[in-house]
Amino acid sequence: MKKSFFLLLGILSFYAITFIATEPVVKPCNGDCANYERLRTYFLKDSNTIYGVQWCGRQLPYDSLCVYIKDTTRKDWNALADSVCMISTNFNLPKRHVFVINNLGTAPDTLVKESCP
Amino acid sequence: MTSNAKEKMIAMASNVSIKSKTKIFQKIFLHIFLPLVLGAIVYLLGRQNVLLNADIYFLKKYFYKSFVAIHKHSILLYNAPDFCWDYSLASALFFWGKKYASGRRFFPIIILALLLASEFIQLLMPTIFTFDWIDVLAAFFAFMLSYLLNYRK
Repeated sequence: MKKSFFLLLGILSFYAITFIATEPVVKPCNGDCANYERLRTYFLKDSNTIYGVQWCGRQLPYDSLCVYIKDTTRKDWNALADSVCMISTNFNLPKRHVFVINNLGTAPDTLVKESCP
Repeated sequence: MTSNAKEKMIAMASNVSIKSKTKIFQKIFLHIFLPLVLGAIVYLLGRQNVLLNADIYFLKKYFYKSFVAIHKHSILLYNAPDFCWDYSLASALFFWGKKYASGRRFFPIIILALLLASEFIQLLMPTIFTFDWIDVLAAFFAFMLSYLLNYRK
């Protein structure tokens, strides 16, 4: 093979790599993914209590929502879990269970496990 | 010819060779390397979620805000890097062609077809790529500019 051929191959390969490197990493977020993102933004926005919302459960697809809290002084976690159930349904994400979890300490501590109506 | 004259001629020839090499490196830097780096800078700091900048959150954290203003000028953020990439590729191929494919009339047309193909191929994979007519125009102008500066005699 000629040197010129390998040089051309090198040029084209290099530019092909840079072409691929500039494409998006993540797939478009539609359907449940988009609803989940909206829900997460809704809870995290201006919240002094919640610092994270995550899908969770023992098997896929996850049937529960885990709500991580940062303010341990608030006591009525059942009311919070009820609200999360209701709001997630409004966002087209009906979940069977909601867990309110405090993991500010050394180990995660489940404060409430609520079964959504 | 005296030995003095011979030495002078050798020195001149070597000087010409050095100058010619420097010129080639300057051209490679200006027409291939620089556009690629400029385009990459916009991708690294101004765009989110691309493979190129997936692991540099620490950089994005500090520099992204300075690029937010550019968002108002989406052509600068989305089309200019593509123009740079097209220009750099066209220049690299023209340099290659000048040395290895000189005299082949269709060579520039092949390069143009390659650049346009890199845009139109995005139509086939809409979930991964984003086709944009402005990118097609950018590819065409990048080709023209590179042809005029690097290939036309």
